Amino acid sequence: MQPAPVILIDLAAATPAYRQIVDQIRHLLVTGALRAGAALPSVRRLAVDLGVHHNTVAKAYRTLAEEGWLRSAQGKAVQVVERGVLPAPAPAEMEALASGFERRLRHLAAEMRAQGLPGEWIARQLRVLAGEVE
Amino acid sequence: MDWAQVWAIAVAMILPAAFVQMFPLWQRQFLFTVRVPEGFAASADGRRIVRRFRARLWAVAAVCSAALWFGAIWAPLVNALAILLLIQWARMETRSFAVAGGTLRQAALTVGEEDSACFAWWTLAPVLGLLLLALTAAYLLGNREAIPARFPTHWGVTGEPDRWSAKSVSSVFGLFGIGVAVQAMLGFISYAMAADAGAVMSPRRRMNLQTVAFVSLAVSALHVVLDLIPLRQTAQALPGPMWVWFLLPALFMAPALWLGVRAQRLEDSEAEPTRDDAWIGGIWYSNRDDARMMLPNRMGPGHAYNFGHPGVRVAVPAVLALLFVSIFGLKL
Repeated sequence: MQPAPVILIDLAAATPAYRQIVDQIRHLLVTGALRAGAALPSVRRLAVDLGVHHNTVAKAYRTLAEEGWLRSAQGKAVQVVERGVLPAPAPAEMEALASGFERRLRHLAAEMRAQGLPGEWIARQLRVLAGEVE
Repeated sequence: MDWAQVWAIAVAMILPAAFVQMFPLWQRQFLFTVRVPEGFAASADGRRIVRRFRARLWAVAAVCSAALWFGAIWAPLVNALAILLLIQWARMETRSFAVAGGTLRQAALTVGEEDSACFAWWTLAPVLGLLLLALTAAYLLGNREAIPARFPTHWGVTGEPDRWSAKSVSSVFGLFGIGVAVQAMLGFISYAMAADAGAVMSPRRRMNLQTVAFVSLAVSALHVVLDLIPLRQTAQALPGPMWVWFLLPALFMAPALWLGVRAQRLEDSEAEPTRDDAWIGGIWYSNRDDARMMLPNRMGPGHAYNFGHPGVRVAVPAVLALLFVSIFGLKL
């Protein structure tokens, strides 16, 4: 039996707790660690385990539901759903989207270097990520 | 020698000091509520701070004991306040050794039986306590004609009554209000600790729940005996031998001291990463962004309320109000 996926948040980080939850669950979904049909803990249970407000977890789940990853209904378990293939965005929209992500990626790489992480390590991580995406 | 005074000093000064002197070593990652490196308490600096705290603690207990011996009834209150100040003093001394960190929290994305694994029978102890009180009240109500017009409510060292009360609703049933308030408080604590246990109950939290269950059953048993006193028409003395009544505080404290020794051997499986700024004075926790109602104290036994939680902000004042009304009603 595979161990349950785990998420880790830093209560003192500048990134809001709900954003950290969204980012980590989304990563698990994209990499296949969480598959369609999997049930997630209730809002209350996850909030207690992480020591955050209920609204923080509810907001994270809502964000992921709006992206099409989760389904949650009153009184029922939050469930991962088959997201399907999203329609390709229009060329202009695609360009804006790509340039936005590229800018964020560059900023992130610059921040990593500014924090003292070696360029080699950053390049290795990017190659690992590229392998995961492909 | 006045044995009543010796007993009062033992209960109000010596036992609390013996209990509080174990507090610093209760949590491994904190010393006087300050986050410190692993093993700091055993280092030369850590031992020096703990030694000083204990010396001051016993010095204050000795002074307050002497004051109580000479009739200062306010001495136990001063002793309690002094203990709070001594903790803050030791906290200031420990601050220069503080380490950062401890704000990382993790959670497994699992559901299923773990959600209900934390329900334990001992969380029902306060319900059983309330049931015992209700049965006693019903019995007393059914036999109210047998209650004499005047019955004892206080006893001297020899066991002979030295204070009496006239039969009234408040004098006969007032104690029930206190009993109900205490059981309601313990019930809320049990519920909050079990509900906030997370996916897995830690040994420390389980131990605290067992303590609450023990206190709840012991207090309700004591209430049954005390609440039925108005019916003891012929009794001039308390039920049972007098030495049992004198030993009662020790009987309550002995398991607490034993738990203290046991807690120091426990691995901290429930390290609670919380923001330092949410702890006021290191002992009062208030964080509106935390879904938990109770979480482990950073010093000593038990759990702290999260006063940022709406449930706590309603339940605690409600129970205190019930307690206040019961005591106030008793004196009417």
